[in-house]
Amino acid sequence: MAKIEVKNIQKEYKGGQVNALKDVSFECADGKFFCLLGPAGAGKTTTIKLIGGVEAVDKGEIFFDGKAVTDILPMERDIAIAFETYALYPQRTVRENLLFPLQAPFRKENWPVEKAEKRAVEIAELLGIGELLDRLPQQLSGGQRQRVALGRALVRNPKAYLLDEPIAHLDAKLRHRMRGELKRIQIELGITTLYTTPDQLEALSLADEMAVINQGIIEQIGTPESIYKFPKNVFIAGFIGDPPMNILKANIIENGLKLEGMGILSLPEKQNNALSTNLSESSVLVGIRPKDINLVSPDHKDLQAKAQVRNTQVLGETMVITMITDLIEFHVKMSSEVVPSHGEQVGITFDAVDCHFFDPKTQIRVEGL
Amino acid sequence: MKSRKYIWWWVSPAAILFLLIILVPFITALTYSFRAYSFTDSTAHGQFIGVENYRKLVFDSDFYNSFKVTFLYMIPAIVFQGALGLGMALLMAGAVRRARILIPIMLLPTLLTPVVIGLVGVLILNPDFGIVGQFLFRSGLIKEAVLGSTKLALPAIIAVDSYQWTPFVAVILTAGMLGLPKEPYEAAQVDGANKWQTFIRVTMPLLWPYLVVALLIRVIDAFRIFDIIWVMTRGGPGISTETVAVYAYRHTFRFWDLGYGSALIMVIFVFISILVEYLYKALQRWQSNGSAA
Amino acid sequence: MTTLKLENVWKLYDDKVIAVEDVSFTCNDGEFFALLGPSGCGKSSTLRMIAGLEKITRGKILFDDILVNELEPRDRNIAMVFETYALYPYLNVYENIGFPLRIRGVPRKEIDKKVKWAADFLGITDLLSMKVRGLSGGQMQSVGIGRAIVREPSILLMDEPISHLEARQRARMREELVVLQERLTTTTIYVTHDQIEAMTMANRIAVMNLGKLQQVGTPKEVYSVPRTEFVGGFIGEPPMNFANCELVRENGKFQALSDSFRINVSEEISACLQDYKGDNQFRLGIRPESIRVVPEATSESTTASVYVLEPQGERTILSVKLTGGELFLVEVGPDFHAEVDQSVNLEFREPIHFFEKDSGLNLVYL
Repeated sequence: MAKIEVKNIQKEYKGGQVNALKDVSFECADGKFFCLLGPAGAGKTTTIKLIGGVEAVDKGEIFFDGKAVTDILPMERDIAIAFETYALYPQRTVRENLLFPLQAPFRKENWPVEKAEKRAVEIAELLGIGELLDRLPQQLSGGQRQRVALGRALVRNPKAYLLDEPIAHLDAKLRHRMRGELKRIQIELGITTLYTTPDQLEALSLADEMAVINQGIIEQIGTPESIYKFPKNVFIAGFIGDPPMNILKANIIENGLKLEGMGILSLPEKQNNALSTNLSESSVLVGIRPKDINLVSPDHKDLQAKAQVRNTQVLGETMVITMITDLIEFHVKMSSEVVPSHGEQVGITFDAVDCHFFDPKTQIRVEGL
Repeated sequence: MKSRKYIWWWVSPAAILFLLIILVPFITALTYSFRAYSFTDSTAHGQFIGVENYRKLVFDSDFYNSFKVTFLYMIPAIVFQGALGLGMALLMAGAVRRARILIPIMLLPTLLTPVVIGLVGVLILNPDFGIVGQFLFRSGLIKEAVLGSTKLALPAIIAVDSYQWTPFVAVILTAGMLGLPKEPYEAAQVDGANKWQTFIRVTMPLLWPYLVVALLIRVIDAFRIFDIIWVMTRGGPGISTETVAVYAYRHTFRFWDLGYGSALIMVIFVFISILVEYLYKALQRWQSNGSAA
Repeated sequence: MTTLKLENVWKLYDDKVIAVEDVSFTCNDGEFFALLGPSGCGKSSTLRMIAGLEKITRGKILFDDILVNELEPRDRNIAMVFETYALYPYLNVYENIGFPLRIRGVPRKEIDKKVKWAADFLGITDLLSMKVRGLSGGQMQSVGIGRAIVREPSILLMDEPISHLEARQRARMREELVVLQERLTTTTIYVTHDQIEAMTMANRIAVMNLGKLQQVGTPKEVYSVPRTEFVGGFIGEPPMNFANCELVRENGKFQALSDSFRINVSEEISACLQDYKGDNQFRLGIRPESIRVVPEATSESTTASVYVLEPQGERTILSVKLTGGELFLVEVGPDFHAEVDQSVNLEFREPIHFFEKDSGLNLVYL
């Protein structure tokens, strides 16, 4: 069990051409499940490699339980890494791959053979690859290989798990199941886990705490709930949540906002004042989640906009409607009891309480509302 | 990190080998090129003479001739081997997919010693008892022995060389063909392209990188080709088949002018480096302008 | 504007491996029809037989009642969009799109008109002079679609066209493709392994598994009344929960019994069971959204213990272990909290499905 602290780490590749990590700092509390969420190329894999010691930081420091590990070899850091690209030993069977970490030559505390075998089988069964123990990696499907890679990390009881998109290549059903299993294992074993993923749903469902990373910079750190409810900038707002938050342009007027290409959103005086003081200009970006928008008849008074239904996507009990006005396109999510037809004109309403406000110049959330 | 130290231990055997086999001879040759080192000239006993060898080189018309001969050999050889190799690959790809053993069989000529191939070439082309030589002579197609003719000797060498190396080109292209994706072909099928259009629009662009690799290797080889020529014509008749390697050999190990020979080699080395660098970059650019996923 | 009919189509490889087994369905004129199933289920083989890229081992394929079994792809007036785009390298976007027309000797002016129309339709007019190499995945896909629609084919075939795009792009393309197809009105067959794609895009879906057709129906039909256990478990996210049970008659009513639960069976199912002759072992299927957590245990409720909680912003997925050991997923509100191993009471609501153990068929279909 270890607390992992990362302070101001920087990493460049190709002699400065690629700035993988610009200035990353975060803390992963002991025994917690910490997710690093970000799009492809954000720097997630680089972070794992640096914390694992597979590569060296250019600047900054890494601490395990307060002790600096920046110069310590990976094998001495007592961590287990599962790479997204599997990195399996090709000439060894699944069983041997799983056993290797427990019996590797340099490892100080070797597991007795029996105990190691039992553990390997246990983990294999848990991951649903118990029948593949005597196969070679080349005989396995991508999903099976990924599970072996994950298993190889899980067999040990290290100070921390570093998992780099460990279930990315599994099909949807299996991914679901594995998510639940992983979370459960982590709760039972209590091992500090750092988990990277580009899938915001995965981060939300697994993390005790998480950080959103984009282009080598940490955008926000917090609990999934706090990030979901109070995204710090437009990028995060648009990244978390599926379908993504709608971002509308608006101008501040008396008693409210005039939404560009749409109607008026009234705001209580306090909010209106707060906005005017916090923003340098009179325009603002309004974020509203698809689920917080309501569909009403186009003749409804007090609507925020009139729009046309461009497309409807029904998924069981919920549906996502794509709506268009002359200027923009946005999404609405609601129950699929009544499905509007394509091309239908409808009205939409939403409440200022559900809105998120962002400064158009800095893209940052306007606080204090 | 501590582990960086260990790296040097792992690398040292290869490093030592590299030093001995490549670096040391190279540096030796470089040193010689600035010295007078001749076993036939009594005044020369290794003294430093600056760029004298190089100056001699600039005025050596035979040296320029050797470059000309090299290109006269290289260009037809590449075109011929490339086209024939491509044809072979197209025909054989299907068969090879079913029987991989065909690849080593195809490579047998390439594996043979050039000296042996050269000697067999000489025998075959002999106008008195060689199969091809007799035919050419008796039918009146040629008036003199092939290898004795300044006009025909180089083509003959190209032919023999092609026998040895065309399969090599073919194998590289076959390997490429076996790895080509299926979908562009299916797209062509659905679009209704015929065999020729499919070849031009799908096969050629996809095979291009392999062709480049194979031909680039042959270009470099053109500057090294020695055994076949030496065995068949010694660079003659006259200097009609004297490529750069043959010429350098002559000076270094026939006239025993090691200094001059070393200078020749240095110049050839620089030339090849620039040529390959330029060719490679040009082909990269050409390829990236055109190809797609 | 063509109707597609498959009649008892089979595909065998090497006379041994059955890739497609006795598949029959009809695609109506102008329909967006999805072939959905996991990898290896036979959907791609089926599509390729429709295209003519694979020979049909047995059965008939008809376009507007004309047998096309023996026709070459180029003579079927079909167009195909490939998973890996399969664009012609070295040609630019304009030439790629125009290629099928050039091959057929269409006059240059005509080609120009059609290519420009296709590019405009897809919003890629500013890419026309660009080489294909530098384009993004999404752009290449659009070019592939352009090449397909430029000939105005009778049937448009798409083989997992967006599977290589990343999540955001995929979501976008799903919408775009639907809008596109509506405007084109071309009969479209769309192959995918992603049930979200099929459910949100298609007018009707054919679900396949292991070479066999499991069900053909509208998204609503395959979701609400899955014909087989496979369909029930494949469609819908989070996936349907399954458990073994016995259907027994008690006091004139039917109940589903197992070590984990005891629940009443609906009137509709009870009616189906009246004449049922097989044994009484079944598989119960219920969707996570049909299970509610109730504060107090009742005679109807089922007890379970919390396995793990997965909050997902707008809702939370609760995994529970039933008394009999089965792992069930329950959809609860975003503010639901519970401790691991805590006991909860569940209420199962309709629709509840019952599938025969051996055949996997839904009772209501028998």
